[in-house]
Amino acid sequence: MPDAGSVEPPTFVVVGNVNQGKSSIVAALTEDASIPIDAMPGTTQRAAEYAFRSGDEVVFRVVDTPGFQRARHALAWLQRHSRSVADRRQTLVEFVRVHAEDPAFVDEVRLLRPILAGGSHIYVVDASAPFEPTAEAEMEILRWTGQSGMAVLNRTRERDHGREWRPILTQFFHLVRDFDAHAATFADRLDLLRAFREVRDEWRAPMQRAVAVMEREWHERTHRAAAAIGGLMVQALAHVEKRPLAAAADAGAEAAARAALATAFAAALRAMEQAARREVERLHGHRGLEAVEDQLALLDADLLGAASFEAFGLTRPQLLRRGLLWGAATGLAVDAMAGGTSLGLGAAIGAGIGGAAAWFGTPRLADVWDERGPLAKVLLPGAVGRFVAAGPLADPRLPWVLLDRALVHARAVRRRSHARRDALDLQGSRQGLVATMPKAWRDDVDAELRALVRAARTGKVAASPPTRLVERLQQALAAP
Amino acid sequence: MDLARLVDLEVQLQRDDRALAEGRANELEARDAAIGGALLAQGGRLDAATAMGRQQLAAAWLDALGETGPRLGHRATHALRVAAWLLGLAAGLVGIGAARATLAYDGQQPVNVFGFLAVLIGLQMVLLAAMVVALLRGGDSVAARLVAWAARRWPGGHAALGAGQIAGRLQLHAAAERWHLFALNQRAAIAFNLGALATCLYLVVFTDLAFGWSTTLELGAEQMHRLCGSIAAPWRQAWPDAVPSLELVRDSQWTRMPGRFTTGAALPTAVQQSGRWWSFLVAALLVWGLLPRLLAWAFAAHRARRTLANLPLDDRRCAALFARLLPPAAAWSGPAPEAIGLPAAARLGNDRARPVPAVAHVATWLLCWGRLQPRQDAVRDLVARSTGTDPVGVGAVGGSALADDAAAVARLAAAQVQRVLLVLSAGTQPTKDVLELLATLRQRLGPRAHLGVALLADANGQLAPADAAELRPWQARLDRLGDANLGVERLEVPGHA
Repeated sequence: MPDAGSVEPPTFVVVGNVNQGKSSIVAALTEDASIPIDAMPGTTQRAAEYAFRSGDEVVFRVVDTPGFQRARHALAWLQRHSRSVADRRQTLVEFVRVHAEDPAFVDEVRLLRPILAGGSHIYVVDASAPFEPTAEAEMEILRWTGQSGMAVLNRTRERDHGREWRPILTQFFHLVRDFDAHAATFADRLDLLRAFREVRDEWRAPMQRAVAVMEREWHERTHRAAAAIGGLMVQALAHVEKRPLAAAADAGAEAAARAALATAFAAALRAMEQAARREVERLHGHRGLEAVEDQLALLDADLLGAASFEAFGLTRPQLLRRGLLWGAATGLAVDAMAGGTSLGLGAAIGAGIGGAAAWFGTPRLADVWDERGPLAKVLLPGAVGRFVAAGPLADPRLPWVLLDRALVHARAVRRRSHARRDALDLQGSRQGLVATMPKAWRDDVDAELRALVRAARTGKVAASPPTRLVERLQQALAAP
Repeated sequence: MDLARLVDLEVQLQRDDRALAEGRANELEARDAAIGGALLAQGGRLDAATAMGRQQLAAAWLDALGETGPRLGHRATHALRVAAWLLGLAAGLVGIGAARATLAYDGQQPVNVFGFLAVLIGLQMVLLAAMVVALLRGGDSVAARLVAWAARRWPGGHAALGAGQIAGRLQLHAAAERWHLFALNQRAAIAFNLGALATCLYLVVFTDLAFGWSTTLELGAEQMHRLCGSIAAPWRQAWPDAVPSLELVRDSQWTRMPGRFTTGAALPTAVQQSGRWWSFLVAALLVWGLLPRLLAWAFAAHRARRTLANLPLDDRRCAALFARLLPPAAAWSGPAPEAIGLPAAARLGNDRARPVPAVAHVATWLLCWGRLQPRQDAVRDLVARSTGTDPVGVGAVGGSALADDAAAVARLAAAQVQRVLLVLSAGTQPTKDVLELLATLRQRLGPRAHLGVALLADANGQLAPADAAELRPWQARLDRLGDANLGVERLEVPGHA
């Protein structure tokens, strides 16, 4: 027991019958995808305490428990040994003491201990199963603890017996909340925590603080995810792939080198995309998703494939405008290299070509050039001998597709409950995100991407993504 | 952060980049999370929000890497110090040489004051001004340009891209590099001036020197006097003897053709007057040669330290490092999964699914569990439709009173029942409570009695067989009891999928 003078952080003990989704709720709340969850009853064998810390301080705790296995028998023991209502809690303490080493009541002992130590119980029921008399015994035992608590209706299947459960639960708990552990978003988790505030008056302030800390941390995480995606754009837009050529290489050898170049360029882009995804997953505690990468549905569509271009990126009218601007931006770089002697002709021609390509053209990765091209001196000043090189990206479609795929993936990861053990579900993300964002947002992002392209074509690659781009990406990720 | 640390940081970040490229991200994450945890445990305040916090964190990280970390920083700074001394030595020698050249006196012609001022003062001032302009203009890192230059001589295409990466990193620290190079340069210049000054004093003290001035410009003695006066303005009050008088200037004007002083004075006279010129030249060298370099060096050293101290360390690679190193400001912590749950091998996901047999078409006693008690008739009817055989009898178990369970079991035992089907609502779990009832039945009915378990779902008030997925946990649980006459059975009702 804690010292009388010490202030223990709020502790919520998640209890209920076996296989009601207790561990799923704890996994969703604690963002811990490693918590064992299985259809086999009794998967959780020991009480496990999860502490939410802000810095060095524990703000509150959640305790996952094995679940009731013999509640009717335990209640019968308690009723036999209790003489009056006044000694019920003491009888429970005695029950835990007597059965501390008893395998018959090992689960009941393990789940009751943290409650008797001062925790409040969160009683979880699976509302897809009907009410059973066993549940009444469980709730009665919890009532004997004398601690305040709340009930949470989880659902593991389509069936819904919530209407049957509610009037029963309200007889035992003054707070009853629905919480779908498998579909819980960050907002749902916060809502549940806000409900936790009501369990005890003295815990209202610390739980209020916990909510504020979580909101702040989520904001910071959003920023980091946006920075990771921004970093991907910086890297991808500036990428240059180079293949050396023998001095005496003939046209056939050069064609082969160009083909290898295209493959290597695409592979490098995919590798960058994968790295950014891993970072976003890591930030959100979804490391396990790496194992189910093959099932990434639409996101697994080849980055450079036609399906990807149709599903992600901008719509055609949106692209036409961007194409004009991107063409102009590329042309401006040519003007700059010509020292302004081209009188802006590069920008004008670039805009025309860019617009036409955006409307009519098929996607191409990047410009391919050799050691004689103007880009060679700027982008590969150290390169000697003959070579062919590709990059940076110039087609407005590809950066937008890349960005859109990254945003869709990040959004799916951010919305994914840590109680899920299946593949990343992108059924709700059949289409991209950027086309649905406000025009002002697209304009801002496009300007930032064009600035990156311009910088990349003059060999000035930023070490980190521009602040404005990160801010816009943060907006997209935070959008409902 | 000092230069040695910065070099080590860059070397280690480069190593980590290679590890990431080789797919060893998990290794780096584990390493840095452990270091971050250890730093936290030591009570250190970990903060990546400010430049100073990031620098402290990077330094602590390098310390924690210990033996596995890079050791290049100290070697590099040591090499830089040696290079600075060598450069200083060389500059000092050049200073000596320059002073000897400008103060060379062969007894035929006096030392031309103009030559001394032009080489040791004028040229230095021009160089310093050019360097300050270059410094203020900024521009690319010299080291980055050196790397690019080296890459041009490197065979193979990829080397160029690797060099590009290194050059990019160096470019991040271009400002710090500029100030360091500037400071280094000023140190060399100080050595140059000291060399020149020492030589100057030596020649004045130990040799005879005659000073004069000679120019092809249209410059009269009065103008030359004003020029000397301007140069001597800083020390005019403090050291008036080091300011040439108009008379001295007039007497010292030398014409090369035919090689004499314009006043007609002889060289020995000039030698006697040399003391009045050398003090001016030494003062000029001190004030216009050495002093600006000392000031520039002090300022550059200060700026170099400040630039290093203010390095933002906020680029992509550093951000990734700090993300690995620092736990989030708010985070959950809990036990390892293996400490709390069933071993992975014992979980249902690893259980081989097999078909569940249908309920046998033989005379059967029904036991209705829990909430199915009041719906015994409906259960009986459903089982009859499923098996084509009316159950022999129906009992109630799993209610609020344990005594009812005991009574039902006693009734079956008394009737020597040989087949019992325990029917539960779908969603009811195979808890110890239920398994204990089955164990009691086995004990009372004997090993040959057939015990089955079936689940019924309540769909909008209608009872229906539960789906196979709900039977699976039961099947797996009962299988582990090792009872050949105990198993899950599937109810099949015509019209139900």
